[in-house]
Amino acid sequence: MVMGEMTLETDVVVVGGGPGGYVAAIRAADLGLNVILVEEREQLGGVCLIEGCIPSKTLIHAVELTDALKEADKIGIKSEGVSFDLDKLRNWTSSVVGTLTKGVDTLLTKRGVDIVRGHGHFQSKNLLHVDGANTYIEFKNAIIATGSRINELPGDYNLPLWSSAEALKLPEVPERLLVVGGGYIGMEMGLVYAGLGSKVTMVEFLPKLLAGADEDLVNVVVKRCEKKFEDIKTGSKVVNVEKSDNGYSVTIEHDGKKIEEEYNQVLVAIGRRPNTDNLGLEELGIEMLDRGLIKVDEAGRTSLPHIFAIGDIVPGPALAHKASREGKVAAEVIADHPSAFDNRAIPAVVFTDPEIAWVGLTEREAKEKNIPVKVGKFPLTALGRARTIGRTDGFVKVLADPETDIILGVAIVGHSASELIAEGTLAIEMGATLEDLMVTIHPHPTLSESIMEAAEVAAGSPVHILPRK
Amino acid sequence: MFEFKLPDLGEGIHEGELLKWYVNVGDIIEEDASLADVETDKAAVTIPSPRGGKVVKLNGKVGDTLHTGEVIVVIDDGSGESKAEVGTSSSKEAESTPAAAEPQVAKKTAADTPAAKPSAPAPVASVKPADGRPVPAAPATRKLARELGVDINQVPGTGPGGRVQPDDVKAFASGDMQPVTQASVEAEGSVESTPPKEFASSAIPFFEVEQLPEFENEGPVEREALRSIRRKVARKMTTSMILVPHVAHMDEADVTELESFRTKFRQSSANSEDPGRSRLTLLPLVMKAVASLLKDWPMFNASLDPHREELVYKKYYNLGFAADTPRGLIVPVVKDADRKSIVQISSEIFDHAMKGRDGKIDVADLQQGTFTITNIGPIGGTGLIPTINYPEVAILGMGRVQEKPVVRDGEIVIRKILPLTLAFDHRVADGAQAARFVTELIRRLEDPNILLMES
Amino acid sequence: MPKMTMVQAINLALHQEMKKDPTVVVLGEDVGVNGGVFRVTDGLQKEYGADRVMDTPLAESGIIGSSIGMAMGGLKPVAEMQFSGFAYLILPQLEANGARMRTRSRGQHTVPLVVRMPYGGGVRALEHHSESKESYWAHTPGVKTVIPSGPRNARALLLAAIRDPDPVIFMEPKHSYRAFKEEVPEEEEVLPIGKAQIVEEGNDITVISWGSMMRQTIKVVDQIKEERNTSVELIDLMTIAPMDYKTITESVKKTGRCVIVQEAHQTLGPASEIIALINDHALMYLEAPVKRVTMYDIQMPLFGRENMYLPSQGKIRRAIEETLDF
Repeated sequence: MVMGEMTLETDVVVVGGGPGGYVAAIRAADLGLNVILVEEREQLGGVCLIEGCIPSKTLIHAVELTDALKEADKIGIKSEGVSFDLDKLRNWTSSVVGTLTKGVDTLLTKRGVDIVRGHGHFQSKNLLHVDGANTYIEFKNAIIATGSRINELPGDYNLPLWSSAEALKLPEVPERLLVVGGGYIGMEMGLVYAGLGSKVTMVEFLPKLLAGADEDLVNVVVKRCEKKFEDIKTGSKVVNVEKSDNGYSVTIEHDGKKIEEEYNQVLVAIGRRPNTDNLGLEELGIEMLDRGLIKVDEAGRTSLPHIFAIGDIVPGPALAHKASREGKVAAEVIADHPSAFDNRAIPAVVFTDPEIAWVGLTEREAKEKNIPVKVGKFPLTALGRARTIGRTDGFVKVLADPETDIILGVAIVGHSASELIAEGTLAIEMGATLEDLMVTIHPHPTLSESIMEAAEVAAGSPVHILPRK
Repeated sequence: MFEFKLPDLGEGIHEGELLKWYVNVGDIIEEDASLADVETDKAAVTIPSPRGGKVVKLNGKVGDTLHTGEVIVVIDDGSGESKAEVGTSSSKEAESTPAAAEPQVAKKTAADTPAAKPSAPAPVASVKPADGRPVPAAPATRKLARELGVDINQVPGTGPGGRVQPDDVKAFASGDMQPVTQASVEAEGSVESTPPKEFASSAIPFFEVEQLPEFENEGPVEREALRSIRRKVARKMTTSMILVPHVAHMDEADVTELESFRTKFRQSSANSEDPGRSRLTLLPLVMKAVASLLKDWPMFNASLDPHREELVYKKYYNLGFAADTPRGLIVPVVKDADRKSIVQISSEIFDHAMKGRDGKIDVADLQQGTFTITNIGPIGGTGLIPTINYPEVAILGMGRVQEKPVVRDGEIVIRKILPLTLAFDHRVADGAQAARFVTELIRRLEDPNILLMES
Repeated sequence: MPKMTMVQAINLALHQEMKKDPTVVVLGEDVGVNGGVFRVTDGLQKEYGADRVMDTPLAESGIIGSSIGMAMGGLKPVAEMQFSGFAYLILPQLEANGARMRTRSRGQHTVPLVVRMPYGGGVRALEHHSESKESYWAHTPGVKTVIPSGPRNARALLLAAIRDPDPVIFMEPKHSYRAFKEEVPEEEEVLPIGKAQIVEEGNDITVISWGSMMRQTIKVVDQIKEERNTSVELIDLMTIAPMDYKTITESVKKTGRCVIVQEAHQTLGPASEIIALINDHALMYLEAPVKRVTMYDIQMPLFGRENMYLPSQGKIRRAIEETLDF
């Protein structure tokens, strides 16, 4: 195009091609709507595919493989000289990401979704300008799915500290790495670099690591991490960072005392914030909540009924799977289907070693809100399959309503918790009871049996552990 | 054959309104499984079945008043001669099938289930999970409900644990099933047309209760039977308003000091397990002040007996407070408030309010009040004229505490102002007494030191 | 039926007609290797070679002169002007030779030539790239002027234009090039030149438009129909010259009211001619004066003011309401 700006008309414009946006676009297209997807990045898939879930899990897998090999001595495997080829690892990660983002591209274009690359900015209630593409989009409905970005360390340091995005590119393996933030991102990245050979120190402001999860789950992980990390400083915060000869000189405050230590690199993982600035939402008069979140109803509608918002920019956990579900709902509502985000449970997963996963009510929440629950806890030490893989660390916990036996929550710490939690999620969505889990035949010998066993414990009739008297 | 008579439901209670049957004729019920919900005075009680067996007969339908000692259900426990259902219908209620709605659902379930399942009697019931939690139902069922335009929370579930099944939603949508209301055990009360009652003409000149127009002709309406708490509130308020000459005396208390005292106390008790400390509200402070004052103003802690033409001065000080619950207004009572500390009163208020919210409050805790306080402030309102909780003679209404500019020593200052209204029975007390009572109350509320010394 | 944009539909017409008729050639600036500035001729050169898809020097009069020669010599050239604003350079050749050849040769020679040109505003471009001057061409006897409004009729009209024995000016509303998609049948579909299309039948008012204004007009008509429970007869003129007076006047006789929406300047624009035709054939049937919505008689302003200058939905709505309420 030599001159001028084209206006494209569409039923639905989706702003943002992450796991919320691209799923919304696909669903809308499949429901017969005309769809344009606006994406700022060259690749589709958003933070999740490009610099989040997918590359981090690829690296975690690599580290876990080597960890398993290192521990395999006891079962008779000799594995001296296991080491990393960083170039190959980088290539492998980017090829995984590349394949998936290209896949998303194909899924969209084959369905006739037009992709416009640039930054979407609302001009009026039915007009979006795409900066960088010289294009206006006149839409009947919009789905805002712009996701979130990484928070920076408070304080104007102006230093090239790592965020998780940088760390995932594996620029180097620093000898001493400071991870600021003991949430799930900090823990996962800390374990990756510990596995790659860095001496990792973890700093967390709160008194506990992984603050969202039940303490008994976290304790299992912390016990293992204590061996892998050089140091874990909870209840501490970074108060100053300065460039030094070999990296950074970092001042950490704990209990009012300040200590200064040297690190070769600092990784900041202290949460994310929604990308809702610079979209022109204020001018449209879209109602906002605190911290840049957009107010939406059950269908994902903002205060303007033809504009929807999904994913990290609306309340709820900032997780890809929640965004995807919300995206589907928004698309369906636009296509006049009676859809709503009425999900009862959004599973949370932390890919530490061992993994933590939980869904629905947590024990802590039950205590805080005075919700009566029956709890059944089943240790993996009592499970055949856990023995066979040498991973008996962890347990499964099932929370049920004492009157109706309806499953209210499931929490797992252990190998493959991320996979096992799906059964718990389904149980909660279906309104299943303990009996439902107990009478369902679980294949033997598998880790999945642990959920059935935990349900039996809750119901007071366990098989593989002794019933409480 | 076992005939189950309605047991004593609580001290001094001889009757209750049937809210719900958990079973239907022909169902197998286990011993101790829920049989029915009956609401007495102001609390709902689930009555368990004392025997296991087959339900042969249910006496009474939802909305009926059951009396202690009446046979409410006949269970075939295999013990004696089988009278079956042969014309034992002594009351006319028994002729009609009880609970018009539920049986059809229950039948359906019964028919779908293989006959020989003695070990799985699972009461076919719409047990709802405790407050605030979503109705158990699979996502596909929820979607079906949306498609059929049905609020799934209204659908009684027949599945395990009260799970709502697709058939329940369909039955509900087709009108075969009646809604359950918010509170777990409210009456199935939706009615199409209740024949209007005729009232005997009143002896009061001009006073006549007119028939209402057919609103259906004026626009779409939904009719709901006036049941349980709503009906009781209606009865009591009508009595109070028609019988009692109300006077409302209004004033304002400057509670700036009291509020800062209260805030300090809360902060210092922030870690207390007792919500009566950690979450101390204004209400217990006011309650304590009132309780201590009533001894000097006995006319506000009395009752007027119109039949005997006597004034009854009560020498016990039980202070009720109006509590909003999902089932409606209840008035839990703090007994002997004059002899309890503020913290004790506060804890008791919390405890009663919680139980009241969950529908689990003891009937005894709703009785024997002598004076009522209604605090609408937390919800809002610059002032109110409360209606006396008959046969008490006075009620204190608290509005919302707001910061207001007031003149103190010739200067405009900002103070926290609590609007107060004392509504009293003019047959029993006079305006001057009320004014003095309220003035003294304000004196105590304005200075925490006085409150502590005097009460 | 596949859904396509107007660009894709015109490209389809060119592909299909070049395949079918070896005398069809395409020429213009950057139409070959580059596939055209708007990608309308994308892939043609690859398919049919540089002999049939010719990149020309930057000289519009040269393009048209050679095209007229080729047409007289037995080819069917489809020439592209990059923007209609540059097409005034072809006027001497077209007016003096192309338009007159049939008459001058007493029917011995015709000039089967199509000149495609993107026209119209609404794309935030400069003056030359944004104007709507169909009257220049329509005012020239011997030349037919055609303006499609959507992907489907663009394809069908272009086929008719290529097959027409006389010069056809084919003006493409570039605002609608990619703005929306329509189902376009794969198999051949031809719409006759000189025939307007009743897009929607109605009884209360006749609304006439064409080209890029059709889209705006349809939106307004849809709203008004719903809001006022009115029945509107909507006509897409499609050919500016020769004008289909029969369709227009029959409709106005039925409805008694008429509004014309054109993007062109008001003075001596097509709307003036339509009103004159109504005057000639249907004056006594009118229940209200015929209203026209046009652009102002000024040069196209810079694009910051573009939307104030182009006929807007608001202006169209007001005209229809006033005419209905007259």
